[in-house]
Amino acid sequence: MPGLLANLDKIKQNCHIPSVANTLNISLTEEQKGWLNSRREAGGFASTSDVVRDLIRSRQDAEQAEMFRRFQELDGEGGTGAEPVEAVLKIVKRVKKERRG
Amino acid sequence: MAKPRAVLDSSVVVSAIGWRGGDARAILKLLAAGGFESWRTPWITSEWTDTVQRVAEIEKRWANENWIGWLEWLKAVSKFADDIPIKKTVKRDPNDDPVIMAAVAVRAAFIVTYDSDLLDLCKPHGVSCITPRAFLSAILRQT
Repeated sequence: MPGLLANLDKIKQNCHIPSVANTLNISLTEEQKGWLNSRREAGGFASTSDVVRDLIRSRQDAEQAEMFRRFQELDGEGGTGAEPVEAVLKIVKRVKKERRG
Repeated sequence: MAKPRAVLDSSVVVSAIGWRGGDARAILKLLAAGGFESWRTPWITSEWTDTVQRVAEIEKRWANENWIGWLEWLKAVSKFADDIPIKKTVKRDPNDDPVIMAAVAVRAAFIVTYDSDLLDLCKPHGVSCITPRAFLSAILRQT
């Protein structure tokens, strides 16, 4: 699909599903709690939840970059051309039928 | 705001891993670039493995010896949720297919599939079942 990757920055900015906040209770050591509080103050965060979310986002960004790099390594593998959909689907449906009893 | 959330049916996963020139591979390229979120459950994951393994064994045109490496990549890049219990019924309702139930459980907007059984259902439980090409178009339309 031409131009797919060129549109990704726009795609990332135009997401349509609202995030839903979830609450988790996490046990931390005194030292870890102190570190979080320090990050909150130094980083101007409103809460330690904001600090944790920021850490998760940073880690996700790093993982996303690594996943993209890995994909580029893999992308040369596989048969040339498009998938033979009907032939593949025939086998897939057989496997699904077996799995669903 | 979150990214669009989708469950990739095994018909698309096996096509994407096996052939590099089609719409299914373009879906994984979009996923690699962060264009949407792929979600999986233990059940979905094991179906991906079973179907890829079977097609690799049977289909003569299969040409990807590294399919295990591809599955590992897809598992790593897909977000994970536990299975939800599926109600056992005497007569199976196609709307209660485990793929659909997984999509409902993770609040996915889309199931991306080549499977006509799913495509025929259109929008079971509010989840849009669409082909890879339609999914790519839907995502690009948002830009």
